[in-house]
Amino acid sequence: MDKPITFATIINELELSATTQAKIAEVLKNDDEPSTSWIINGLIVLSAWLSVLFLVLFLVFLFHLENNWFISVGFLFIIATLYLQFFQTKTNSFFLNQLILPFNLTGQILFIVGIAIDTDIVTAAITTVIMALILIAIYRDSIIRFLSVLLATSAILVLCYEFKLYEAIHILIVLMAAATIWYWITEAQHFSNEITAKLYNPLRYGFVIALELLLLLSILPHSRWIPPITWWFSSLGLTVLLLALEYYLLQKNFIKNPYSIFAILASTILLAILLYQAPGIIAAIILLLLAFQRGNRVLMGIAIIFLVVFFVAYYYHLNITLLMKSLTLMSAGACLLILRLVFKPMLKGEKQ
Amino acid sequence: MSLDTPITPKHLYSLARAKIFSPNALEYALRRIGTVPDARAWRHFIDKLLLLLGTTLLLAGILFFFAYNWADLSRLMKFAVLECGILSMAIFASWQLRHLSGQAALLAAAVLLGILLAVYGQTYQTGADAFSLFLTWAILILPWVLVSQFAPLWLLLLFLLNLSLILYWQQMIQFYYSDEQRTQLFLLVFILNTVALITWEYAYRKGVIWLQGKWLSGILFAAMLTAIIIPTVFAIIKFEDWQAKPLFAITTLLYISVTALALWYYLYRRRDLLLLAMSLFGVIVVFSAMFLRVLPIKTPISWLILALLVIGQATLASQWLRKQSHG
Repeated sequence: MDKPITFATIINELELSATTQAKIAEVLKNDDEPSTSWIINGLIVLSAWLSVLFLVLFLVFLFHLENNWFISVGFLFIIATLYLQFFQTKTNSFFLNQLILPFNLTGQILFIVGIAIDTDIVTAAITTVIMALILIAIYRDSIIRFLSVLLATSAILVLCYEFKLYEAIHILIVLMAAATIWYWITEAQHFSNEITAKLYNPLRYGFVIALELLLLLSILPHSRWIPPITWWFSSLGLTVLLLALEYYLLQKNFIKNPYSIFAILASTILLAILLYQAPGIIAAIILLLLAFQRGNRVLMGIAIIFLVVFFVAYYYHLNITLLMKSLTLMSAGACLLILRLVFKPMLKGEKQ
Repeated sequence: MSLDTPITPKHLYSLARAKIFSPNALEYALRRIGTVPDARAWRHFIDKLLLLLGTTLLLAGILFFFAYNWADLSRLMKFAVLECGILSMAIFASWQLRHLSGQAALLAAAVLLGILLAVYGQTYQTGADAFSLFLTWAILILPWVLVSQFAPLWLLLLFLLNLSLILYWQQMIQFYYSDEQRTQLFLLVFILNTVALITWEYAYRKGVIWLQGKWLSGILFAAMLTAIIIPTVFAIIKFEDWQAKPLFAITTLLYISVTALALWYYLYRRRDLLLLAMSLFGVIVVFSAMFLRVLPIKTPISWLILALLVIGQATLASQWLRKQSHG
């Protein structure tokens, strides 16, 4: 079994100076700031939503559904929680942090609903985008920042729907996927900057979930709310991004054999042609590669879940007989197994 | 913490945030500890991915093929296909039982056995109740479950037993649901899952290797807790019936005892943050039901009090959990 790598090993390999070594020791000594486990965060989020439900009911009962109060009360809640947030940062009060989250969420819901009722959906959507961007910039809570990404994406989607720019969703999907890829592969740069490091986790997961939620529309049946969309536009954009990511990863791992590169990229194009109506699968493959590249289990789990969902939906919606579906599945399975045999000798890394 | 401490990614991110490691140094270190994979790791990953995806799609295709042709197959052919499937999976499993592939094959054989029983019931119109199908299925796979040393197969057995119990209750014991009868059913499900959880905990403490994965205890605990919380919440809402229906009081007392025991056990005997968090979330839900019962819900201020109570409870719970996780 390999011995675990220690700081001493890395310090030697990077040839760090004695001053830097002392700084490392100092940071590690003080780095006992306990991070909150995801289990505890999960409990906080669940409880927050439960209390939001009760808060909204309180306000609805109090103001008897008079919507002219929604905007004022919602705005008041948001401003008050922003102020308390700054105060909480100074005092580091855990109780205050738990109090702020549900009140802020309630404020956002009331504010948006109030504007939608008072004006129209378009104004509410534009206001939502602006509010979400402001909250991402100045509100220091990861959960709010994460939810703000989803909120902003939903609002943009609503705007596309209201202006009947249905096909604009493809631009949104490709931009979201590009942002996701760029954000994840530049992890090292973001962590090295004090400001971006704080934004990093909520934004990177926000982009991922927003992307997958957008692509869920591709597997839902048509309805009044989901107009018919030419999904292969998204597939094309996502395929280009996938090819770029693969090329980047091949270069990073010193696989320079042109035949290997050609085989991998050609297989990807072939796969994309077969799956042109399933952009969700292509996006899930992108996330899978990113997850493995960054060694991130959470992203790996998300990618696997969405890959299964989109795969099942793809075959369910295929407009062919059950016999043809079975033959398609068997052929696809056999192709992948053959690819495995073909790729084995090709993926040997050259000297790094 | 000395410089001979093994590195974790968390340490490296801290050093990068403190601007001690440049982006290139961080990337180098992440690659060095294996978080960022090298070419060899990529080869291994793609190899496993293509194998898993290829096998899954191939098997799914075979399944769909038989589904398509199912109606046209003769009775004999249907049984032959299923029995050959079970036999081949079982033979493979006996050869590779100590490997994941063998255990997965045994799980597949167990699933196929259930399908065989369903086809048998359909073909011969035996008129058997649904619960007997699932119970027979569970009994037949019991020997495989015992030899497999494979946690998912145990989970399948427990699932079948739960389903058998619920269907038996619905079909054989009660024809309609009264409040007490519903509570009785939940309590039986609770007892079944509690026995399963206790068995797991015992096996874990004895060091049974293949049961060391804590994900199974999470599922068992969640099932057990859900089975007792639902009737407890219902009992609280129907508080006025307690004198006439003592089972409601018993259920509530049982819930309190189980939660207290779970908190003690998972704090002092086997520290498990996830199960503690589940217990505390259950407490929040039950307390919220209690306050909902007590407060006049038509008064707006009641909802504000409820919201603040939930926030207060969540704060206390998460603060306590934080202390335990670092204690």
